[in-house]
Parts: sequence; structure tokens; C-alpha cells
Amino acid sequence: MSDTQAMARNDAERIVAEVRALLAPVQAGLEALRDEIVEAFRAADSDGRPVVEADLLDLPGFFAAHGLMQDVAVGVGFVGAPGAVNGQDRYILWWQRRGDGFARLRLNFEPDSVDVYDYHEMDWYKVAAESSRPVLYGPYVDYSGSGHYVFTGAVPVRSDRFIGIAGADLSVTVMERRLTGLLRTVDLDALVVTGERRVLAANTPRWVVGAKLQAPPSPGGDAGFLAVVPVGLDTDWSVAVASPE
Amino acid sequence: MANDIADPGPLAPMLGRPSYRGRADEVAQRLEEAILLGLLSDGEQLPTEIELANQFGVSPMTLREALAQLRERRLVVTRRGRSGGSFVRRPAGPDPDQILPRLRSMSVTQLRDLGDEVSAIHVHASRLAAGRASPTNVRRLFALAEQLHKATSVRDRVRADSRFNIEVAMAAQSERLTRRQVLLQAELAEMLWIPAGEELSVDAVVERHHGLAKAIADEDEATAGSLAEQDVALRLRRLIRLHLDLTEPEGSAR
Repeated sequence: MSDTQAMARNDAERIVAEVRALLAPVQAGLEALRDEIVEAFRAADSDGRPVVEADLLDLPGFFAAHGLMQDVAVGVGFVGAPGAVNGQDRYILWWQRRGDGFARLRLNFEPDSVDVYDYHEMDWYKVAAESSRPVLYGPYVDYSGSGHYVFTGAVPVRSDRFIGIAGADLSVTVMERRLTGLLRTVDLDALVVTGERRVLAANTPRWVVGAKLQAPPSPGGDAGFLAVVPVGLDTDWSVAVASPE
Repeated sequence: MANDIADPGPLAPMLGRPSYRGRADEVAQRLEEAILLGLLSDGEQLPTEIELANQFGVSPMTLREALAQLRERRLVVTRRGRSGGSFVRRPAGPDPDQILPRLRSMSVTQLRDLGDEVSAIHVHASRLAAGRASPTNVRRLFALAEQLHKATSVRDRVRADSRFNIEVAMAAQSERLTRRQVLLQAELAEMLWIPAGEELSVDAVVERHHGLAKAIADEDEATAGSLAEQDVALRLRRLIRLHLDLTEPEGSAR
């Protein structure tokens, strides 16, 4: 391994640790919210009654999670499995940041409407529901939901059954700014890229954020990558470092 | 084609529209988008004026102005009294009484210009989408093409068709192109699907949507761009044909 390669590897590993630290509050906030929701469902179960909206409305976890994630989160909420709340097929309790306060997100759930917001079909919901592991999905333009370019983090909520997901929409703009700040400490060319080859942030105009790389970055290929280190946690992200063009 | 209104020349766009869009216009526009996209459903009661004003961060006065605009566009009805409030009124479908006069009053130049703008947005969004779409975007594009195929009412066709075009902009990962496309669809889609003149072939549009979805799935930028361009050109042709039919002088041979 050459000196440059060793340096690249070092840089990539250091940035990965920082990115993990950046994502830690997201995970912590969502897990705490998940625990409160599970508790509310257990309480209703032991009373032998179905869960209704009033059981969830005042949970402090929604706003505690907002507090932990600060301006990274544009929204935090709970998305119910079919029948979980009020016996409804679809149920969502989602708090959007609006100026200094929060507003509840309204969505269209008319089942036979063409533009129904059918989250049961959304990847962030499906992966969390089916594999029962947390996901960080995106980035994507969520025009039918919150109207922002976001990531969605989702943590499955289950007691003896699957109840739904605790989730957060994270601003791509804020996340990119933080990631770019980290990447700027690298002298070589560096980027954060998702499993679908999409560029999240880079310390050079060589890669455009939101565009996809021609091929997954791998050391020793034509693209000049020296080191590629997966971020892990709930992401399919990697930090990749290349020799300057 | 008699159009005797004095032409104000190249300054027309500036004279016709105030360069400063007030806050009320912005709020009205956001609400209109939400209604046309179906985020607010038909008959749904809007939050109180105070609540809404807080949500948008505007004064109650500004909000009332925005609601007045929506009432004028017949997208909201306000009822007074105990069970009063403002309610969403989603159009059941394109209303020929509103749309045909609009199509008649536009000049071919204006229609062509609208087509130019659609083309600039949609063709480029299609090219970008081919380079950037996620697997979810691709799945939704095919699903929306299928929804258009299965739609039985004009209203559902308008929705499925415009949602397809909006999804292309979403696949381009661009908030701005998405927003532009939403506005353009609000202006264009109903005119396009209005049941008048020569019938618009649903199958042909579905086939073009499928082709574009496939080009985006294949990451084939050139094909995506040229298919989108053809699609916009065909749409413009239909609008010009309708316009000419509407303005045909009486007793003309054609």
C-alpha cells in the first residue's frame, strides 16, 4: 500500500466515524420515540381496548426527537400499520417543523383516489415493516408528502406484533452542508455516496450532488478511487476518497 | 382568426403580471397545489383562519385574501354560521365552460409559448431522470402509466397523466423542476384532456408514458429526452387543433 493509499484509507475511516456521530442523534431520537409508542400500545392492550389517537397525541417523544436532531429534521412522526390506530387502514401522526413551531402534516388517504399517498408501498415503510430493521432511505423529492427533498429514517415499532414505524424526514440541504463540512477536512478528493450510487456530498465540483456515479466506487478502478469505506448503521452509504483529477 | 385586442408588444408579460407576487398569492398557490395534487381531499374542512395563518406565517388578513382567490377559482367554498368554515372543493373534472373559453382566448403564439415552457421543463427533467431516478421512481412511473390506462373518468385521466409528468421531475431529484411541473400541469392537463374535438387516444399516451418510463429505467438519457420532446409536441398539436376548431369562423369551408 502506497503512502497516498494509506492516507486515503485513514481519511475515509475518520470521516466514517464522524458521519456515524452525525447520525447518532437521529437513531437515538427515533428509538426513544419507538419505546414510548410501544409503551402506549402495551398500556392499551392491558386495558383490553384498541389504541386510539388520544393515546399518542401527547407523547413527548415526537418533540424530543425534533430537539435531538435539531435543524436536520423537517418532520418527525409515527406511521401506523393497517388497523393499528382507530382501527384505520392508514394512520399517520407526523409533526412538521414550521418556523418556530410544529404543524401536523395532512395527507390524502382516500383509498380510491389516484393520488392517494400510499405509504404502504413506500420503500422506507416496506423495508422497516418487512425486515424489521431501521432504514435510512433517500434522498428523494417527497412532493406528495412533506414537499421537500429529504431522507426518511424509519425505525420499526413492534410489541407482540408490527405496529408501524417511528420516522423522521431529514433535510438533504442541512445534511449535505454537514457532510461537506466533514469532507472539506480531506486533502484528496472525497465524497459520500449511497448504495444506489447517488452522490450526497463532495469536497469538489467533480461530482454533482444528487447525480449518480457511473459505477459503484471501488479502489483500483478507472475512476481513481483509493479507499472506499462503508458508513454502516442503517445506511447503505460509503465514504470514498480518490486521487485528484 | 380575429383577435382585435391591441398587442402591447414585448412588454406584455411584464404588464400582464405584477413582478412582485404578494404573500397572499403565494399562500393561495400552495393551497391550490395541495388541492390539485389531492393532498387535501374534496369536502375536507380547512383549519381555522388563525391556524392556517400561523402555519403559513402570514397575517390573518393576508390569509383571507388568499382564501378569497381560491373561492374565485372555485377551489374552496366558505360557509358561515355554527358549522361554518372553509371547505375544499375539488373539481370533479375539467369544466368545459371554463376551459373552452380560455383555450379560445389564447393565441396560437401563447399556446406555443406554453408548449415551449413545458418542453424546457419536461424534456430536461426526463434526461436528468434517466441519470438520477431511484428504483422507486421507476416503479411509480410504470404504476402511473398503468393507472392512466385503467382510469375510467376524465378526472382520473387528468390526475394520472399529470402525476406521471410530476413523477418524472421528482425522479430528476429536483425540487424546483417538480414545483414548476406541478404549476404547468395545473394549467395544462385539464385543457389537454377536455372531451372536445378529435378524441385524445389514451392508449397512445399510455404507450408514450411506458416508453419514457423504460428509457428512464434503462438510464438512456438521449431516448428519454427525445421521447419527452415528441410527447410535448403531440400535446401542443392537440391544443392548437382544439383552438383552431374553437375559433373557426362560421360558415367556413373547413
